[in-house]
Amino acid sequence: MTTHREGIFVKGLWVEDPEPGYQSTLVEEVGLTSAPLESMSFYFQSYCKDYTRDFMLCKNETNDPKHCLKEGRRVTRCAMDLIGKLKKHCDPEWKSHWNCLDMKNHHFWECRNEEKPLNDCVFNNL
Amino acid sequence: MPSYSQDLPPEGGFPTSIRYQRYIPKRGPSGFTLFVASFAIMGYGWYWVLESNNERRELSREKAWARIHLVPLLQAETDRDIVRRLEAAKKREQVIIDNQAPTVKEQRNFQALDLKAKTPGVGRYGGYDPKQAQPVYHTDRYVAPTFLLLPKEKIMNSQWWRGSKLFLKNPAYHERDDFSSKLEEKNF
Repeated sequence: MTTHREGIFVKGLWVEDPEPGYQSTLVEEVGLTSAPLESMSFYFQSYCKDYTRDFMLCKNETNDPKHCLKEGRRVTRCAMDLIGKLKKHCDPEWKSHWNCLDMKNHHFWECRNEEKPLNDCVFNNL
Repeated sequence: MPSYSQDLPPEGGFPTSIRYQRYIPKRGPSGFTLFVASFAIMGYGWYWVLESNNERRELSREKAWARIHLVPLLQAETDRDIVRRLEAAKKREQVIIDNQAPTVKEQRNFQALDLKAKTPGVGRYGGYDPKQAQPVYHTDRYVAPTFLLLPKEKIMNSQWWRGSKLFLKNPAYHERDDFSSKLEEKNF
């Protein structure tokens, strides 16, 4: 479902201006890089189960991106919520975990020592 | 019988302190035990290999699941991005359509980036028919646009450091020097 082709640019590269006047302020984008996202993915799945399921079921109906914008916004909002909570309660453990992942080529099995306190923290607080 | 001079042992044999016979005792594990031992060691190694294969499979499963769980988040972002870009492209095309001469406008009656709008010249079953104006796609499903119109001013010439096509003697059709991107005007 996350498939879209790269554009084939014939005469040169395309530079897109940010088009004004589009509803880009409805939801704040998740400005995360890959390591923190990956380390929080399992918690994200259980925390935002309803919204993600809703979104995927909606996506199943049609390929149209416009059809599922609302559910997508809900998913992003839930993710931002989770990130805020993680930052508030579990910031040091989460940070050490994703720093470790960055060092170890995103190998989950090499960061079990940091994962354990993160699991405990998340279990206790969320 | 002639008497020969031979190098014989002395009378009564050699003293027993001198060892003259070969002495290769049978000692150590037998051949069978050697085979068994090597197979045992190899079997132990194979067992661990299979265990670690299973372990690796579980780890890659964990990696796959981590990515799968993130799919809705990333897909939502991509959706928003795509919708924004398509709307922008539609606006650009609409501007071009509005700037046409009035006679051309009512003659051709273009729609901006709508694959299910009635395009003049497209006949039913796909053939060219100047009198008909059928949509390109007749289905109810969503159809993503294959081509997008990009204005010339915003196109950046491809830089040499972005993947080189410097020494290509047989470039692709659209990269040859005599390629012209202007469509031939047909009478619609």
